[in-house]
Amino acid sequence: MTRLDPATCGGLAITLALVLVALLAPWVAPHDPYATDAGRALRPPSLAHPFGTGVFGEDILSRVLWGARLDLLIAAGAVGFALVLGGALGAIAGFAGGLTDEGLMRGMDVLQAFPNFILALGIAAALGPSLPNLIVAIALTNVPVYARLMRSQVLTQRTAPYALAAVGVGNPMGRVLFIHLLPNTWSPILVQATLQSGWAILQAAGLSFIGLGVRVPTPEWGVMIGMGVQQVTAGQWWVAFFPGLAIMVAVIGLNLLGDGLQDWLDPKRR
Amino acid sequence: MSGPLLEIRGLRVEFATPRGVARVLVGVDLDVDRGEVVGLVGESGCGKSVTALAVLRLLRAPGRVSGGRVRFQGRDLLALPEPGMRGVRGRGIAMIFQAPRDCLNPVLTIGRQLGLLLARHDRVAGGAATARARELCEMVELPDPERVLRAYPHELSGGMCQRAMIALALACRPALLIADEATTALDVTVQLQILLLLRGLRDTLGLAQLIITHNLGVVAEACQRVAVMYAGEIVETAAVGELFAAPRHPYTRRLLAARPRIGAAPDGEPIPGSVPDPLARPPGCAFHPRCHRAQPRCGEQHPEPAVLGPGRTVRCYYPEP
Repeated sequence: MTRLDPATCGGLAITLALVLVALLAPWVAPHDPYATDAGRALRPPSLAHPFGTGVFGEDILSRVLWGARLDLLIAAGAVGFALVLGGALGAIAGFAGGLTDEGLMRGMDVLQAFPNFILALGIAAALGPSLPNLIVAIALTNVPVYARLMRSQVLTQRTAPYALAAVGVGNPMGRVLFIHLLPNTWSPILVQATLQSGWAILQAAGLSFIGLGVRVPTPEWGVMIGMGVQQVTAGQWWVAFFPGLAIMVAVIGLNLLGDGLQDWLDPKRR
Repeated sequence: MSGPLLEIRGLRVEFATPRGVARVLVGVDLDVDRGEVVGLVGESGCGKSVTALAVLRLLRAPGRVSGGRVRFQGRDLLALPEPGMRGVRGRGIAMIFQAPRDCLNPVLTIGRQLGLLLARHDRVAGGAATARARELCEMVELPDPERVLRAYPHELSGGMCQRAMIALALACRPALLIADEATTALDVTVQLQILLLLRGLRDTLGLAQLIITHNLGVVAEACQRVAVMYAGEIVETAAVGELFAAPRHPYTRRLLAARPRIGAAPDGEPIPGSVPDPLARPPGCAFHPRCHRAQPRCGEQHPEPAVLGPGRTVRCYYPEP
């Protein structure tokens, strides 16, 4: 086992912290994220409200902590969905080759022909704003990434000498695919999934910000930035700043972790 | 069951290329008897590996068998349905390759790869499988089996990978082992160890072997009988001693003469020209444009193998005396 470098450790720590916060949100959040109090609206950060309060007097800290729960759920759901669907399509395309390959991959090209965010926007708008639809919209824009990656992996591994050797000792093709080829394709896919989680959070926040994701007053980082945006010009920066900071930290953490995993998962360094 | 263990007759393989059909094998005849070690020698590109892959039906498109017959233990392999062929691969005929490390799955330990194979072919698992795995390690003289079984391929040396590969091949108790340039990538000292190991396997298990190599030294060390291949056909077969003492095909003679030897200049000049393009085979004998004994007839008619004695054939109109 090689030692992890500091950047990867940082990424791992941030990601673990986020997961913990997400799991423990009901216990660590000092206030109810939905509680409003017109009497203490738009207070700057203080000891009672470390991140200040919003337009309706809601506690920003509590909402940021609860937001971790929702944003990580969206990221994990979207990436998991995209990985399973894209990975399966890519493996089929790479293994079958020929017309199947052409058909599937040209389909992926169609999806990739649209800018990612525009596509997610279109799908989210068509499906209507809700949490499951948001996940589906982000997942669909990510399917081609995994399909292409998996296909290229299967293509290179399929012609590897050990694959021929595996057929040579009497394994049927399906067994070669599942036991020998797929385990050799995991590491780049896992790395991509980690990096893509960061993007998924950005996309989720972006869609929610323009009102196509989850709705006000749900404690989601994009929604919260949307709610605080008008306040920034009035000098009440904290309403939008802290959820923005949370997004930044989450994305940095996942990216560092993804980069580190890339080195660490290389079987030659185990 | 009579007849040889493996009988190849008139095996033809073609590769469809954008420039036309490349005739890579033009009628290969080769026998391997039970417990016999046969060498298949020839220059790169003469079709040695293609022969082995065709026997196991592992040729990939655009390559395809276009004619001939392959019988193994009395069964016609070219007509066998794919599920039946799976039983032949590994259990009947096992194959080891040139780059042993590339032929082992990089993400699985040696022990796991052996375990998977044993579970599949022998239906043993757990303690019995571990015991059998250790037994196989001893059979291929792998030192420190515990460590090797826990190791990933990249943690082992080339020689150890080849031993592990042989252990994997032996796991299914094959009747025939095809070794395709199995020692080529190894140091000469390791090469000799592997050759001695293969010879030991013949003596103890009666394992028949087809050893594919371009190295005549390997043939001399490991084989009982040799088939010399040129441009997709067998041009001479002989017992090893006879071949080295008195090569009859002009190609064999030049091949032997081209070997580097200490203290002597290679006798004769190198073979002029190069191996013919399988897309444009010369008419008549494929070797005649490079042959010092060629007569007009050689460019017109394709010679059939002439039997000179038991197990001794030569495909030439004007063989060396």
